[in-house]
Amino acid sequence: MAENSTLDKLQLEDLLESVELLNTSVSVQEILQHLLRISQARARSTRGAAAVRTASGHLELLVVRGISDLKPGSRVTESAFRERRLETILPIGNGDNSAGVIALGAVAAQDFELNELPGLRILLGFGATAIANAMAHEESKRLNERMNQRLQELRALLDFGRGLSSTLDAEEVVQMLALTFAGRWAISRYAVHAWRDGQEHVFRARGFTFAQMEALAGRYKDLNEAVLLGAGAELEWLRGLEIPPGSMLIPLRSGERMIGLILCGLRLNKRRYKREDLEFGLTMASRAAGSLENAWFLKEALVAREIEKELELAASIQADLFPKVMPVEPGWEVAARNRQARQVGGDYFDGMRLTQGGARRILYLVADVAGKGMGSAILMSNIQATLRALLEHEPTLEAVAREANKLLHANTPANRYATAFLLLLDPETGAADFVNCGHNNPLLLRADGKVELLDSPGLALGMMPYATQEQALAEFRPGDLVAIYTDGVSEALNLQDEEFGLDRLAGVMKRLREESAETILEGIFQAIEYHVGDAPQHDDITLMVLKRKP
Amino acid sequence: MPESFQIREEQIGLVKVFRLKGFLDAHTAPAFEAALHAKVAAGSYRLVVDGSELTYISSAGLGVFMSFIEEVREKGGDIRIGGLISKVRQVFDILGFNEIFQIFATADDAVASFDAGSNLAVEGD
Repeated sequence: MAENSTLDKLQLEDLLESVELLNTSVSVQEILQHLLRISQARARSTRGAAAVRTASGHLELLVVRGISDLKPGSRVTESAFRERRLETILPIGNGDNSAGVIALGAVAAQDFELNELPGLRILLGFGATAIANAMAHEESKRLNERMNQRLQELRALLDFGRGLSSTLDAEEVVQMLALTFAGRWAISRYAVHAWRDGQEHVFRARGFTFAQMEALAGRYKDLNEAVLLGAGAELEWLRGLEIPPGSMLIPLRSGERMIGLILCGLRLNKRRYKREDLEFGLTMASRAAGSLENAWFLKEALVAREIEKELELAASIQADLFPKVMPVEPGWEVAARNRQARQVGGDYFDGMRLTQGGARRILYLVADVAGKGMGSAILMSNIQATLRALLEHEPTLEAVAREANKLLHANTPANRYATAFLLLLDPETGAADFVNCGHNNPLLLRADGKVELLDSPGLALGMMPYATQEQALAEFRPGDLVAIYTDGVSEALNLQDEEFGLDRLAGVMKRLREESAETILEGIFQAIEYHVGDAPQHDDITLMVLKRKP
Repeated sequence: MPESFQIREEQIGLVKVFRLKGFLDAHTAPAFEAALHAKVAAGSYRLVVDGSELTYISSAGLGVFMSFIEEVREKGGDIRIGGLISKVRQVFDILGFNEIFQIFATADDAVASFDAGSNLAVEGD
């Protein structure tokens, strides 16, 4: 063997073999193992360690031979090596910029520094390059892995977005959200609970219960970000709930409000949730929250549309109830009009020709049905049918009203009733029976200018089971004028909350009393409009004007 | 138009095979979940998913596998996967599903693994 400092044959062979190995290895661990093995062999050392210098500059121990209290994977210093009598410390590469160190103890080789060290330094120089390459490779692998993860996140988001655009159902939104989380994180236990005032809750869970979600909602009333459960004092509480620590809780938020919570259990592949996962969770949740809001909004709109359709139907039923032409006899004029505040009103007027004992009679009727919409439209048609039927058989108007009261009370809910004024006129004589069933008293303007109110005892039809209605008699003389109206006329409010009132009504009637019934009717409507001004119409306005020609 | 997705079911011995075709994504995952749910509820616990015609899988699609795996294994069964094309296989690996599911080169291998006993090693990368 050579005695000088040049490399001997064995060293050269070692070097060639090493360079070959080092050039092909992409594992830092493998390179260090090899460098330590060669170093120990050249130094005849039984104890040794190899550490790599990390990006932050400290040494991380990767390979240990013959030292029990040093753990691979831990941080280490050169003084820690010396404390364990690893006194020969060789940098891998150049001094301070070394890629790591080889530490050797109990060097038994004679003239190690003279005979072995020069060759070893050349080897370690190659080793430094190999480690740099391997680290670059590992870094690019790590970057690649991270990029793949980010790419998967983006794909999941895009896919979720596509899925959301294909549904308008809250249950489906929650299902897609849960499946995406389950797949993204390999979790088999999860729960999604979303809620909103006036809407059904949406709940979907595997492995968790509604009670657990309620408990979480009680503790996390206004969560702003995704959190990992089980930090600090929460641990015991969480164990009591049997929710594993390390589970993730994500809020569903719509603007300022929390509209739900998502609980994601532990990952089956033992991976932990990272910062990026919390962010991804929150991003997904906010997409889902938007879709949930849309789904709920649509549901409300559909309900509103149903109501709209019902109103349209009610309005068409109602329109058919009003007589197309009011019956009238020579010597009389009649005009009637109804103006509804809404699509479907509760007012009703009618006129019917009858014969009583061979004598011609005309029934005039104004009614105000409690409530609006479909219910009142049906009640109105009920009243019309009931009255028409009864008028054929009952001997008097009072009997008609009482029987109608009984029938309506028996066949409608308690909150359904109607005030009504019925007038049965003998056009020959001007005599009229009338029944006022809890209705506004019609205003009778006599030819001589006196004003009378047509009142008789009685409550609204259908309000009480027993009969309260009594009939009274009125006598209309030539030149007399009657206005039968609903409270929409007398109580029409202006912006100062003042009612139109009977004085104004009587005033218009007096002023226009020489005109036709139609003109008087029109004049009263105009006077109401003038009085009300810009105030909104709250109630239906129904008015019937009956005039006995002078 | 959403991408098409089809499921064909086949019974091979005691094993129920789901042959998936097309796109398994957030939009189509509910259908697959319903199909799996029906079989598990009916007591089929030896399940194989044939992915040879599966061209795309998203996180939501993978979520379906997670929905039943614990229940199926508690009942002594398993969900095993075979025939994945490399693009789809990559997604399984990136999301760590290769650590949870036994993935075989072909669906036939996956079916055969049930006959051979339930503790076959996971196919290597």
